[in-house]
Amino acid sequence: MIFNRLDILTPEELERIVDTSCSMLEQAGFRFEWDFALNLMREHGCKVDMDAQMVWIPRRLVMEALEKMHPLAAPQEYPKLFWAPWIGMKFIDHKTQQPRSGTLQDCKNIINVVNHLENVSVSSTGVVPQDVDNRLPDLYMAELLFKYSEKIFTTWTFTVDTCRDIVEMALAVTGGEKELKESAIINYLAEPVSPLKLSRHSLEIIKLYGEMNQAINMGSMVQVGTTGPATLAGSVALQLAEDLASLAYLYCLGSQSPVSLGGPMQVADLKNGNCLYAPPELPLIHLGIVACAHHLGYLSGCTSGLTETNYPDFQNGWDRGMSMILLWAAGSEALGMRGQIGAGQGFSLDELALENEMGGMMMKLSQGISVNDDTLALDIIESVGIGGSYSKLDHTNKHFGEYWKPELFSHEAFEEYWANYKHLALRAHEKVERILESYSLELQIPQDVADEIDRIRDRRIERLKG
Amino acid sequence: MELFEKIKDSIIEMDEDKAGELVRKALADGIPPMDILGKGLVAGIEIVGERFKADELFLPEVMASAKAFKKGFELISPRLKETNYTPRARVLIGSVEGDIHDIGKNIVISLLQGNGYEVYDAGVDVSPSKFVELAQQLKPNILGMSALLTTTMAKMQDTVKSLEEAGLRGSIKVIVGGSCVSAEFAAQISADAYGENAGDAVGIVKNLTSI
Amino acid sequence: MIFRKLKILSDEEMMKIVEGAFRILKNTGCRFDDEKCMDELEKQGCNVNRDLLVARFSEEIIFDALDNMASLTPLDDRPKARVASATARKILDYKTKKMRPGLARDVRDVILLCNNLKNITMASAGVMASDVPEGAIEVYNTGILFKYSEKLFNQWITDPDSVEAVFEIAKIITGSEERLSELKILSCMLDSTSPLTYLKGRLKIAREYARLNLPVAICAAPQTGVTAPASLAGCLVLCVAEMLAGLVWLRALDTKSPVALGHLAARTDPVKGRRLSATPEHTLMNLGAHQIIRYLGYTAGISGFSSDSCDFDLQMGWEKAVSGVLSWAAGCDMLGRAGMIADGFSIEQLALEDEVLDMLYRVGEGCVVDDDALALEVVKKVGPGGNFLAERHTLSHARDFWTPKIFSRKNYSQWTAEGKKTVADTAHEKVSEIISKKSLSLQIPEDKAKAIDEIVGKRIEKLGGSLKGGDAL
Repeated sequence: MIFNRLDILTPEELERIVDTSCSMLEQAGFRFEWDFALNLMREHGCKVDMDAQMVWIPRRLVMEALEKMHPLAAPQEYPKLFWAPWIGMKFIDHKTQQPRSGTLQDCKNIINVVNHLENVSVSSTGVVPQDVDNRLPDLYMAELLFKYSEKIFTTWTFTVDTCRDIVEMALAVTGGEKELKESAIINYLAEPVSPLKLSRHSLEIIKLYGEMNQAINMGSMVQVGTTGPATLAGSVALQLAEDLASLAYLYCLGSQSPVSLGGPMQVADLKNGNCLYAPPELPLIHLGIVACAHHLGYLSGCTSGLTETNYPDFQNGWDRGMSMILLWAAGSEALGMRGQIGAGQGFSLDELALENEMGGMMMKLSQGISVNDDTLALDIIESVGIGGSYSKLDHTNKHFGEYWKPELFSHEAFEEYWANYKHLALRAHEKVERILESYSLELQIPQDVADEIDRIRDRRIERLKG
Repeated sequence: MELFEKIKDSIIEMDEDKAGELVRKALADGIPPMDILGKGLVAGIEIVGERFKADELFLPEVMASAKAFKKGFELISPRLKETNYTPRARVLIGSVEGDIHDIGKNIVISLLQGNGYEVYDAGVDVSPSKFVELAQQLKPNILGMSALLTTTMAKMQDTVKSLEEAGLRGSIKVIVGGSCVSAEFAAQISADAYGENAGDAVGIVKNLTSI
Repeated sequence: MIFRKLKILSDEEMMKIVEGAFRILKNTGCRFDDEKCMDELEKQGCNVNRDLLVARFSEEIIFDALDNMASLTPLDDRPKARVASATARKILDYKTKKMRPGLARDVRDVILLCNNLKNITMASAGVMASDVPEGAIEVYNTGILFKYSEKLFNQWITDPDSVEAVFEIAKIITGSEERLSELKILSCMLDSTSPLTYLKGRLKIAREYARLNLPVAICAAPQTGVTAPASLAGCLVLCVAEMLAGLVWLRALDTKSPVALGHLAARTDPVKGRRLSATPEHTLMNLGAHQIIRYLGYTAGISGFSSDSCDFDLQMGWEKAVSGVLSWAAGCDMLGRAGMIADGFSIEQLALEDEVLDMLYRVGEGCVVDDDALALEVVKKVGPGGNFLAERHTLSHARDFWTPKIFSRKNYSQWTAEGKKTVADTAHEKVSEIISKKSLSLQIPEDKAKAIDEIVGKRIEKLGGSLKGGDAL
């Protein structure tokens, strides 16, 4: 258990940020690139300029939305780690270890490996397959996850049409609209285009998922210095403003979707405009947005534990560790983006296996220290006495059995380690190989449902040909 | 001449207003616009480019210098047209149809301007036909396209095809970039180059134009 | 601002552990392997058994010690790193990846690096020089550190026979014993031998330091399942009991030594019986101990940057981050073990820890929240769909961001083109550069340095070695 989480802002500072976010929506406004959305917001009391596609959202509406929307339910055990894989364009080839474009087979392998990594609690395809029609890779991704993932999953939705298809697939899986609305098996990352814009397709997708009460994570991606101010508080305020705009829109739709606030904020390297993956400013802004979300009564998740480096070396471990531990200590409910290596170079199964190991350590940390008569062991201390030994006691053996056991990390002495040398990267690689060789994907849904999913996918392919 | 030095310094010092004021004075004094450009504006922006390459300057500083350069250039541009001026290289750049992300594109624009290239921003959500129309009008050496969404990548290929159909492909080099694009994809659509990061742009343009 | 107040135990849980420690000290007591201690503790009101050299403590006696023994004040609010004190016998040779015995020249290199790594706030010698006679190492290290360290340093004394020479050296710096007592430029560790024992040698040393009111760090370092219960709470009970026993004894000396309490317990590898230093259980115990020590009103010293890895790999970085960052997040005053790899010392690791401390310091600065930082007017000016890169506001803050000196930000192509250098390679280059380009300079007047050399030389000669030409061997 964590008591007294790590805090980055005073209550007054939090209020100032929230106030600033509301002011941004009231004074700078927001661009909604869809007439339907503009009209909807106007009906709810917003000032709207249809020609400029601009909305000015009053804080009254924002506060109402915050009060009446449903926060995503808290995990049963705290802090459960929602430990979800990254999704990107590139894959680190498992054999050559070189980055290349992701393929459908990579997606399948990733789902397979995730199914068998005990500390990765959420699945994804890890990569966007590029050996399929690039107008609907999200449909293929959803298809594979519905069919083969043994865990809850997260995925991307790129277009309105594929969104409709994914909803239809979800209806087939759950059995109907009522069941789908009750299950929230899909989650969508509502991502404005910073600063202060929601594209038409995002607005339409939010509406479609919102109508089905699927979980929506308000997750803008403000980048400090480029699409956000070059100050951390300013970017956090902007991020929150964008999340709140999406929330207000969802509220106006009358959706019952459970919602979280947060998102994959970024920091730009102002030397060259590149996106940084592990500067110390990044956990700071994530801590800021997590604090804001909790202050407003919502759960929060951020990307964390990313690295700039291309190899599982010291920097890799530190980059990941610093940001993950800081966010964990602040009580963030979700720690996303697992499996990434090298500033977005690609998704690596070996990295994912290493992060599974890290996840095991974090789960153990999450259990905290158990304090009861057995663990206090006062009788045992007194009976062992001064200068005695605790070896071979039943109490010792029992508690030894509860210790975290590494599978990939080493606990060898220095000489032993180098005498039996096998780099950590190789150990991870071999673990992945073992999983891929030992397990294959199995249908997690009835065959007729799988057939229906295939039919939905094929129908879309046909329509695109037309 | 002292005025050239001052113009050069105004670029290095990122002073847009001063650059404008000094260029106006130079024009009023009858100094040839080519000289104002070469000995003042370009001299300044080249130093900025070198310092940026040497990691002494940050991107916002380059962009501020580029703004100052642009201000001065806009003032002499009508007079340049009367001469036999040809730009270092002309780059047309935009985000493809369906894509409204533009930050990477904007960084590239600044870096190119910061290195003395003439850059035309086509904006976002630019259709293949619009790219062709602008290419016919502006006659760029380079067309740069950016896409952040996998669903919009195909428009890059459509644009390349449209350039071919318009008979322009031979005279325009095509560079593609964006987080969903890769070197393999660039090769697949017969682009001339792929930029992994915005910072690669200047080097690529230099190689493609030999300027 | 970051509020470093992470806690791992509820108040109720914490009290159960403290009360458990009190019960152990009342019923079982602690052994002090020195008859003189029995006199001292009996005078304090303890129930002593002179045959067994065991003292038992009532609650009142313990509370009296807690009320009257002052805490060593932390230096400042920033996270501190102390180079692991010189208990490492070996040092890593980066090129061969083998550990070799530490040498006197390594000590000089470590001090030079500590002087030039800005985030290492407390220096040490790093290694025990094998080319110095065993009984003279601590004296030698103390002398070298006084002469050349530009920072506060730590050299634990474990050999009672070294104390006199160390004090002589310190008195050369301060001018007198009274001044040494006032300035408190030396400190010692009083570490227990679990379970529930303080050995004669340690007591003798601590008595001398306490006589001069010099700071004492009371540390417990049991091993779960071997010299402490295998359960984490039980191990903490034992640690707290041992620390409190040491505290009461110091109180009995009627000293004004300020005190820090240190938790150095380790979790056991159940299969091989080894002491491990970076398991999640170890980190939990560190956090629990820190919370309790703070509750008791003392500066806490815990092993912060710990790893069980033997390589500069992801495991090392991850474990050091988990242990170091969490300790920092809990508000720990001193983070130790910087520079350690396995059981040896590494100058490359020291440089890496300097880098990561830099990152952690940046995090520690938190977020400024004022009108300029909130940037409302800038956001309004840029508007939807704009970008901030060309704004004056961005220009004015562009250089506020942390930049790495060792850590890499190269993409895959650049990294490959440069030969796939790891971060440890870069650290090695950095330390090599410092060692080749910088040098040690005397931090004290020459006459004092000479006087120190004489003391060190005498000690070495007494043990059969020789010190030639200043502090060279």
